[in-house]
Amino acid sequence: MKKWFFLFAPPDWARRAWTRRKSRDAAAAWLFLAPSAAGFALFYLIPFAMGVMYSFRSGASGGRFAGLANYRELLASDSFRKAASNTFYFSAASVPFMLALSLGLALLLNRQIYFRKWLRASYVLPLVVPVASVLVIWQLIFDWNGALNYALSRFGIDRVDWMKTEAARYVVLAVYLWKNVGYNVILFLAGLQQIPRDYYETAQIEGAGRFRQFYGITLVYLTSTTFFVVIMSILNSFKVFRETYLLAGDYPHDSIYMLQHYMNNMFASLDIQKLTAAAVLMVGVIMAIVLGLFGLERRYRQFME
Amino acid sequence: MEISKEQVDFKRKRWIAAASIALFGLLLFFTLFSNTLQSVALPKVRTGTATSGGLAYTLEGSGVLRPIKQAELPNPAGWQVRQVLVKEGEAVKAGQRLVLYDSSSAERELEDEIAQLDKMYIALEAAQDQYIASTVGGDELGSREAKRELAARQIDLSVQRRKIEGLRERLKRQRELTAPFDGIVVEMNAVEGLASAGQPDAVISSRDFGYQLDLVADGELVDRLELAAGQPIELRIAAAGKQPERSLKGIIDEMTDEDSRRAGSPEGDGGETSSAVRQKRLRIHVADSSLRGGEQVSVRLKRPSSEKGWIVPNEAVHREGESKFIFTVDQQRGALGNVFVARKVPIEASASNGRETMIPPDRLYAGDLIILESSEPLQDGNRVRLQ
Amino acid sequence: MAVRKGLLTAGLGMIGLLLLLPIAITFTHSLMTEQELTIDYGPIGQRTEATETGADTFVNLKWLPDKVTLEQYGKLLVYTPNYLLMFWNSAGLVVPIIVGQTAVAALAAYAFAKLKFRGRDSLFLAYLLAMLMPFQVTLVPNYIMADKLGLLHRPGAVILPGVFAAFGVFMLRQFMLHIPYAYIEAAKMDGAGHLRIFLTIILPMVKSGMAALVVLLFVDYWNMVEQPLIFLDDPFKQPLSVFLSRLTGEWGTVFAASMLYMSPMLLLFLYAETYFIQGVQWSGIKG
Repeated sequence: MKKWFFLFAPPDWARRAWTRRKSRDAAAAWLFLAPSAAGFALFYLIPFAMGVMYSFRSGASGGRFAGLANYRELLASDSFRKAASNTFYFSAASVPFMLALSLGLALLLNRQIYFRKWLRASYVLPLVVPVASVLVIWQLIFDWNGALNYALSRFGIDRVDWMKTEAARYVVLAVYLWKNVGYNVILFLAGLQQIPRDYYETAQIEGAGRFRQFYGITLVYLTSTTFFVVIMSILNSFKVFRETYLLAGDYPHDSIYMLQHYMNNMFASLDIQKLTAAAVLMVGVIMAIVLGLFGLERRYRQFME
Repeated sequence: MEISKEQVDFKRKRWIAAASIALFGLLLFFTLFSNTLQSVALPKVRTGTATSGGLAYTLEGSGVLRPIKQAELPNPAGWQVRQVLVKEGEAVKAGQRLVLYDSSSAERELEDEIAQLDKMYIALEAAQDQYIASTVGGDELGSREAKRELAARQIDLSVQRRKIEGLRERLKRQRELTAPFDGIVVEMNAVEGLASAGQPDAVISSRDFGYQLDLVADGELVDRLELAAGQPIELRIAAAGKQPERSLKGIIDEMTDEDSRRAGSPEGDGGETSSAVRQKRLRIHVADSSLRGGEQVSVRLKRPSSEKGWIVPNEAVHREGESKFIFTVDQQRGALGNVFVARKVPIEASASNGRETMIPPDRLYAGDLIILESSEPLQDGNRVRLQ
Repeated sequence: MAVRKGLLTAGLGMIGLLLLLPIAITFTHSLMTEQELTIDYGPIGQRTEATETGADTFVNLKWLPDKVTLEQYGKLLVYTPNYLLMFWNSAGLVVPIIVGQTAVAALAAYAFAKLKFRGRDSLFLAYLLAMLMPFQVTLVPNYIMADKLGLLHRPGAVILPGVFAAFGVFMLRQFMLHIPYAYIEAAKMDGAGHLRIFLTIILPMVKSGMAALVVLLFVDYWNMVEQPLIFLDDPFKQPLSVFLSRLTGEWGTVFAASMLYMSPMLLLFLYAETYFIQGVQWSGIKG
């Protein structure tokens, strides 16, 4: 029986075992947790709390409580709005695209093919390649005089200045897909291999068509994998900032100016209030999305059961 | 089947492990030795430090002291020298005889003329007698003719007398060479038994007017030394014979501009950069009774410049068109240990004497290494290897 | 059937090759001579009036070098000492992070996976959220914190947050969750304490998970750019990723540097591919 252990819901028998020695375990648990919790608090929790605090003050040190003034100012700022909407749209567009692409590839890889192991390895390899070492390749491809424009001109299409127009979005999307598709393919492959073969056989005997099988069995059994893939894809869609940053610098074209650019630049200009307010807003949104997905997943599983 | 697959896997892993070790070994090797490897190819430089202080301007020159008043006495008649009475270096008084000449031919001529004169007297007497006889005889015509004859003879006689007088005078003058003034025989060319050719037989110089030395020096240097007419200056006489080296006082008599000469740059790089160097002639006057003239004297004038700076040897200074620069060595923190980098330092305002150049004090720090010589032409920022 | 299988393989293989292309280009170009690269890639970054009108000034993307040479590697290793220094800088940052995070995370993951205590789920949620947050979110407070701890401009400012990052905890917990309780119960019957259980039962069972974590962490931190840029001001302490992103000008050196930079990752991947893929799969699936 397959269970999604992602966050909550330990198996029933385990829950029973826990309640029995809850008190004895607690002390040991904190001992085991101590190093991690201390460091985590010091480098993540406390800084975040400080960040929240700063976001309500008028100055990082010695400022007064300023209420929501920082937030108002932030929301009124054009560059923040631009950065936030870019980040939002990029994630909203790239995550479903990624999902569809990696699921499709995983389904194909799961078919009868030669060299499966090698193919799988070639899909994953980009994940381990450091960003900085393929930067120059992206430049070669997406430059005004680059390889992609050369290919386009062969087909009689006008060249595009990829990094300096709206087209930069596609560049970032391409880099994102290149790097992360393998990771998601592996996840989906694992999910697919967990589905017992006889389910399909039974379905076939009962006369279910291909699509029926796909919707009825494959997608249902891949639900929890999909949730995980979505979360990881969102996480990775934030990480693509690094590529963008290295390719285009502090101030890339407007269409790929992400929240991280905004925060970096606020940091550079020492605008702590705006930076922390933006950070708090971002955390809030991410938290809402993640918790929403968990809730959805839990309800879905309950529904399935 | 399974085993062979595992074996393949194991083999592959061993291979990868070997490759990893090779990679890290390579990187480690280069980390340890890349500095050494690289420095083999670097230009080798010889360095020195700059000294702080003023530039010493040195005027150096030498020459021969010449007396100011000097007479060259030629052989007056081109006669053979009979006797040389003084030696070179001897002090003489005005009128003192220096050289006697062989005047026998002139004396003979004089004697001949005197004999001629005697003959004329005799002829005069004959003419007188003729006149007396004519007058006594009353021969008016003969008497007048005898009188004219007599007058002409008398004229001839006085002419002959004057000629003898002249000859005598010449003989007296040309028979000997005398000193025109008190002084020293600087040169004595007369040799007994020979007639002199070309040169004066004797050169006499006066002590009373002193001696002079002419020097040609770089005009800029003269300006920097702030030399002016009327200034005292110290001279040294080189040791000669038993005389030890000694110094004497001189006074700059006059300074005149000499013709400029074209001079190449001292570094000789390129050679096309030459400039007219202003030259000045110094005339130094020396009065010293012990001098005889002709002594070899040298001048060495040293004076520190008024402004202070860094002193570097001229060989360290490079030229590029109008601008001058030197290279210093910067010690930079390299990735793997310290590296030395040549740094170009322009020196617009610089002063130079023949060997050293003074750089404004803000151009260098104490202890900066200056590149004196490099195995290859350097550029700003080149890494170099210290010798 | 075999035809279909072959066609499918060919199709997927094409995609695979496309994905491998950047790596392959980097490799082949690192063997080219500088002249060849300069001629072929001269037009990069030259958007001029002439190219505006569509004049034929494209780069000449080639697959294979005309002349194979190791010149670029030689130049890189001998004349770019910064490169070597920063390679070791990278290692000096990454290795402590990996060792530290794996150790710290294993302990914490055991507590999260196998022990019950009050506030466990909410604390784990905090870890999870922290894992998802971009680095910039806690940039300022982290900076202030590093300053207060005296870590600023020292490697510790990068290493310590890495050691205590949540990812390892999350991943190892995933692995530990499916160790059956029966093992622990049995050990407890024998009178073993938690530490002993952890060391003798749990750790050996999550070995593959830890290997996967090591690979994933290596990938992640070998790559880091923002943290060292902000927390280390000394250019000689920066890791290779920062250095490479600023290396411009000589194409050949860039390719050779990129190749050498990614080669430890490639070797590690080839060596531990099974672990890596297993690790990724387990982190998302089983439970």
